[in-house]
Amino acid sequence: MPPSSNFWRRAKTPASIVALLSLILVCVLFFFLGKWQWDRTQDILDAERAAVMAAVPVSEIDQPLDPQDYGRTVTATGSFINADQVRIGSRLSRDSIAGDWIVSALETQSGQWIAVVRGWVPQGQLFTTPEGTVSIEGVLQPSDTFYASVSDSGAEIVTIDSQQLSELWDAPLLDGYIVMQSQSPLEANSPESVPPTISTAEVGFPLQNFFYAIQWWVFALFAVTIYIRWLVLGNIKFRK
Amino acid sequence: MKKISTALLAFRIMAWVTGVVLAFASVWALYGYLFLNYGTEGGKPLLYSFLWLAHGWLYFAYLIAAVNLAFLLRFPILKTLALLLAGTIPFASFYADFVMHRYVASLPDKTVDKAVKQDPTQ
Repeated sequence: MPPSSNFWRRAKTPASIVALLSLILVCVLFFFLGKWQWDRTQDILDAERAAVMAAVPVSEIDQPLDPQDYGRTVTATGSFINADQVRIGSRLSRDSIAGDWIVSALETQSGQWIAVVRGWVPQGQLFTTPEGTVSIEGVLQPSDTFYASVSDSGAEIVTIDSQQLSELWDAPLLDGYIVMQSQSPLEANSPESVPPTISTAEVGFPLQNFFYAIQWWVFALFAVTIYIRWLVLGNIKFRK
Repeated sequence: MKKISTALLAFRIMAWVTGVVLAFASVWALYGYLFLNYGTEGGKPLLYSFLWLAHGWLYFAYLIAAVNLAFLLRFPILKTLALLLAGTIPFASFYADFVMHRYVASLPDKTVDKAVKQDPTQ
C-alpha cells in the first residue's frame, strides 16, 4: 500500500524514532554477525584448500584414485624411462599453440611406475629425456575418459589413460597421471610445462557457516519489514 | 476472529516444529560437545550440520508466524520481541504457544473483532 501522510506522521513520534534507532542497531549487529560467519566460511575453505594444495608424495595417495584426490599436488622422485615415452598430438601449450604433449614413464625410487605429462613441444620437435634421478612436482589427474574406443599404437597416442599406457609400456602403472609443473634438476631443451585440466582438489564446503551468514542478513531485512509494517498498522507502543 | 484463529494455528504449528527440532539439536549438541569431540575442526557429522541449518530456516518461518499473530493481537514492541525470542530458547516456544492460546481464549469476542476491524490492511 502507498505510504500515507499518517505513515510519515507516525514515523516522527518519539516511540517510532526509538524503535528506528533500535532497528538500525539490530541491522548493524546482524550485518556484522553475518559478515563474521561469511569470513569463517572463507577461512575454513582456505584452510581446507591449503591442506589439499600441500604437496604429498604420490605413493601416499590411495589407489585406485579417489575423485577427492583429482587435482592434488604430488611429488615423486625417481628416473624417467628413456624408451617409454609417447607423444600426444594436437594438444595446446600454455599460450594455446598447437603442438605435442610428451608423456613419459617415471619409475619412483620405491619402484612404482606412473605416467607423467612432462610438457609441450612444438609439433614434431625433438626433445631430450632427463638422465638420472629427478624430483618432480605436479598435479594429479584422472585418466582421460574421452575417445575410449580409440586404441593407441606406437609412440603416438590420442588420450592419456594409465590402463592403455600400462599395456603399451608393459608395466603396472599407478592410476591416473601427473601433469608436471616443476622438475629438478631440469635438463636443457626440456618440454614447456602445461596447465593441468583439473587444478583444485575437492574440499568440503562449510554449508552451516555459509547459510548462517545468509540467515543473519535475511533476519536484518526481516527486521526492516517488521518496522515498516508496524508504522503502516500505526500502533507503535513499547508497553500497553 | 477467524483470522486470529488461523494465525494462532500457524503459530502453534511453527512453535512445535521449531521447538522439537531445537530441543533435539540442543540435546545432540550437548552430547556431541561433551563426549564426541564436536569442538574440533571437522568433528561434526553432516547430518548434525543440516539439522542446525534446518532449524535456522524453520525459525525464520516461526518469526513470520509469530509476527503475524502479534500484529493481529496489537501486541506492543517488547511483548512481540519476547514472543520472537521464545523460538531461540529450547522448550520456550512450547510455553509461548500455551500462553498465546490462553491469552486469546481470555479475550472477549468483541475485543478480538474490534482488533481485526481496526486493521487498515483489511
